[in-house]
Amino acid sequence: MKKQSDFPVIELQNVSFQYDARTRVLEDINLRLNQGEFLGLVGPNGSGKSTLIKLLLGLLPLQQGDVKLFGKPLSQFTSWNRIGYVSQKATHFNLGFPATVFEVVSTGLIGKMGLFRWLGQKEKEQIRHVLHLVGLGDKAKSPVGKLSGGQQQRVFIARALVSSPDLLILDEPTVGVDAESVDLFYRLLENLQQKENIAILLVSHDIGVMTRKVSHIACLNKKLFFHGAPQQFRENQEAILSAAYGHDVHLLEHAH
Amino acid sequence: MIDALTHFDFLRRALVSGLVIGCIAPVIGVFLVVRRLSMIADSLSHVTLTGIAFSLLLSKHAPLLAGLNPVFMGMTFSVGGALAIEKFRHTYRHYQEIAIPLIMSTGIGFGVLFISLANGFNTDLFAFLFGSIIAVRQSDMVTIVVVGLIVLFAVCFLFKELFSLSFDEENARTTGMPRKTINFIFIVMVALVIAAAMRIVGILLVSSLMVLPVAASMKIAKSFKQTFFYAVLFGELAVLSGMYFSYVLDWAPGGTIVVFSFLILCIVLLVNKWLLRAES
Repeated sequence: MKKQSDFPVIELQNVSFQYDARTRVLEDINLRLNQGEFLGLVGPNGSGKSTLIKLLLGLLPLQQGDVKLFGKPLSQFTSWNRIGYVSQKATHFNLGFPATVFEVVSTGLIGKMGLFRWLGQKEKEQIRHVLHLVGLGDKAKSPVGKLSGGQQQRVFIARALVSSPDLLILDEPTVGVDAESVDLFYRLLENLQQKENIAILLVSHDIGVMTRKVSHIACLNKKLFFHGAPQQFRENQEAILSAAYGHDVHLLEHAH
Repeated sequence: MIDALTHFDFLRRALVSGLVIGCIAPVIGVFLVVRRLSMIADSLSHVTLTGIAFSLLLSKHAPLLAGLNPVFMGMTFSVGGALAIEKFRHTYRHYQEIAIPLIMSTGIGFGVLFISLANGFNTDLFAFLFGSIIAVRQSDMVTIVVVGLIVLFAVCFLFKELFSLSFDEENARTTGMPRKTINFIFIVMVALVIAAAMRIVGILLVSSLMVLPVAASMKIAKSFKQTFFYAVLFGELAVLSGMYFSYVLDWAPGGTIVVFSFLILCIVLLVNKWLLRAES
């Protein structure tokens, strides 16, 4: 595994969030992700995982606490091209949208290119390269709605990767995706982390696979119940999960 | 027809205006359709009517304003209506579609009120409702050409941003683009195109030129860029054939253009079905 520097890519300090006055979704979260680390975020449904991600992407307003990206406070952060994001909803897009795979991936370059610019030769080359990387080199001209669910998911991963980000944020990207694509997906992530040294934040239900692949694991249910090495997590898994989930969770583990 | 074009100024003005509208209405229409906002066009065209009626009322009571082209007041109302829709979409976050009928019915209500205050319909208003070739004045044509240029430049320069916002708004936000500004520019463009197009096709039929060519195009286009190409092609075909028959047979231009748009849609659907069957 490649060296992990101490440079913090994500820092959350005392972050709390509530959608309305009565229900707190996040309470006093402190979390840090360094360059080159692969952090797996697990937790039950409605535990605030997606809320946490939306907060640090600026998609929800920050109510309490501090968020820093690449050492800069969120409100001053502008280098959005350093972050690639694949949302939970990515595969629920309008299937009839008349766009090719190539066109969809090109939207990932917007932050990097800035306003009033068209795709140049260099950008087109980048798109072809990243499509090849996710195994869709021959699908560039296909309408995106005609692909299988797993292939569509790979299109969105390609869109997140095309600007060569230093941080990749993935919110449950393997839900409803075929087994072959899931395998390919984890291999791709390992490759990215080890060769390109990028930081990855992956949200998933799949605790079994996660503990084998990630370098760090965090367990969330409103509060942070664990943050550390996967080995440590496995040793205390029962205690952590029953504290976080509040009931028996063996059903949630998948054998891979 | 060619002979008539060289002889009659009004025909030349109508032709130039028609060609501009046949291009920009489908271009804006593509974005509206893929964002599932095609009803906005209908809503805003009715608000434009309110502006026209208001302008006609004003000119009756304030002779100073009689020289003002009603199109400008229509545009002002249309832009105002567009902004109101955006506002209500945020007020009723969970019922976003409510904003569209809300503005539409309010617009018609005020429009009818203004019309009755101005003592009912006259030929001017009739031309705005159903479109007219003879009614296109010099100032109308200049306005339409200027709006056309603005819209085409804006779409070209903001193409990738508009595409990204249409495809996946959440992801577009994480690229750090000025989303609110671009959405604002877009909705203002929609309002301007509607107000510009109404001279030729009429208020009641504006939305058809923004939706029908796009509906046909989406069936055969293989990419987002191609969608624009076919939409504009079909839009221009409909406008040219519609205006020709409208002139030769003295039919209402708006209605004729819409009928031709619909014919093109039917032909595309049939040919597409036939091709698909031949393939399999």
